[in-house]
Amino acid sequence: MRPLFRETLASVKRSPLLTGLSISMISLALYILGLFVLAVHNFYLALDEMEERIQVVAYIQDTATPEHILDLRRILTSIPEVKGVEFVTKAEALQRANRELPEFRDIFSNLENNPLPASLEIQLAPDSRTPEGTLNVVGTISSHPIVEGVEYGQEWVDTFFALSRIAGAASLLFGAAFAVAASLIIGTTMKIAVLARKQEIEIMQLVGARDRSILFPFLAEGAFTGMSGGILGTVLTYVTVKLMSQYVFTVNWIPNSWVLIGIAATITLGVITSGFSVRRQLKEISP
Amino acid sequence: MMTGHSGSGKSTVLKLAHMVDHPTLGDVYVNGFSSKRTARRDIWKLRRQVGFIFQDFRLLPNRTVLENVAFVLDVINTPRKEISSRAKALLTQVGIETKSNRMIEDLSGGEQQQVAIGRALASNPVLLLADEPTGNLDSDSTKKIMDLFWSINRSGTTILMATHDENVVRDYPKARLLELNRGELIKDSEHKVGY
Repeated sequence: MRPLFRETLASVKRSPLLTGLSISMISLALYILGLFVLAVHNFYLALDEMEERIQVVAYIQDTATPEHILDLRRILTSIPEVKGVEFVTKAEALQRANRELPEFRDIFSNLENNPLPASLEIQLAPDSRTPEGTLNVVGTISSHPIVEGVEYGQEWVDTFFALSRIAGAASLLFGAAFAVAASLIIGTTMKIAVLARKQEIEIMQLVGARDRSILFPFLAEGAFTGMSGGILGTVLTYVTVKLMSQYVFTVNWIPNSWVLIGIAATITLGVITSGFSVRRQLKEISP
Repeated sequence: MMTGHSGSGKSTVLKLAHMVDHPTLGDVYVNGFSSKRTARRDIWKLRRQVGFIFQDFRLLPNRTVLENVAFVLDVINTPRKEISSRAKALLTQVGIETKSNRMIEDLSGGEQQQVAIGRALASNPVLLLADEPTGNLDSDSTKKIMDLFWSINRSGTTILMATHDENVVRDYPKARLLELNRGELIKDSEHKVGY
């Protein structure tokens, strides 16, 4: 068998327009899919960031002694749902209020007594940043005698997780739709590329070429076109990310493993759809 | 030569012999290959022994004369080093070697058919099937192609040619003549037809 790489390049040189169009179509399909994946990836990064902010705050009674607080800390750190606990003194709470609420600075500075309670800020373990995990922690500490009150923004946590679930379902649904559309575009493109060379296939078959001798060069071309389209689509997506980050807002690039999966998928689709199209032609010409 | 009106079955006989079509009844034997017993994946073996020439030439338009013949030599796994020299030899055999670097669309109909014949000879076939090979040609080109067929035939290759051109039939009286009508052989110049 002839070296496939040389054969493939020769074929590309013979019909540069057709190959160019096929590569452009595939790159466009992958570019559109890439933009969607990019949007979903950045959305999830934002959700992760928001998720990290989920915390439970236990306000401590003014009468609590350091031993009581240490005891509560010990209880909290032994709960698997808790990642870390930070103690905020009354003075620190007032400093924070001064910093974060500058419009009330005059009121804060004229206070005779600091009315703000000390607190324990409880960071949840990544797996426990759920409504259930949050409630478990709240349930454990709310009955403790030195705890004056517990705050965890129940409504916000519920809304956040509802939003996460909707986003997950929507991205799965639209992702599948985009992937199917991209696959159809790639498949149709390869089919057209094979159809354009129907006469070549017919001649090969009629002069006594074996089916596999006809098939292999087309498979190699399918792989080449798929790979070139995949790489070009990736480059287009990358350029878009760079331009958006420079002129609009920061966009995070998708993980490299995803890029490799995308290119591998276009190569696989190029090979499979070329193979099917050629086999169909072979059977049509000589049933 | 196989003659007969349109629809008499000339092309069908050629297609059956080349195993492009398959008989619904009976069997077709060509050089030891039975259409019934030859698996689809093995038909290529028959086709390397039986060349086919079309009325419309079926050449690749985006390639040169030499590339059209070399393409076939490549497809049938001719050693790479030999392809160029063999392609040139074939073009010399069919008398079109001076135009080997011309694109197919720059050639006349007769010249294109010469290339098609050269291509059909690439696998050294024992039998050449030709379906109205002069159907699209003027009288000068027809004579040139028919002379080429005679020379190929004299060198030992059997040619089965379908034509409805009475002039061709008349000009080559030495050829065995088969006449078909509605799918039946009604005349054979060398054998008595009938039961």
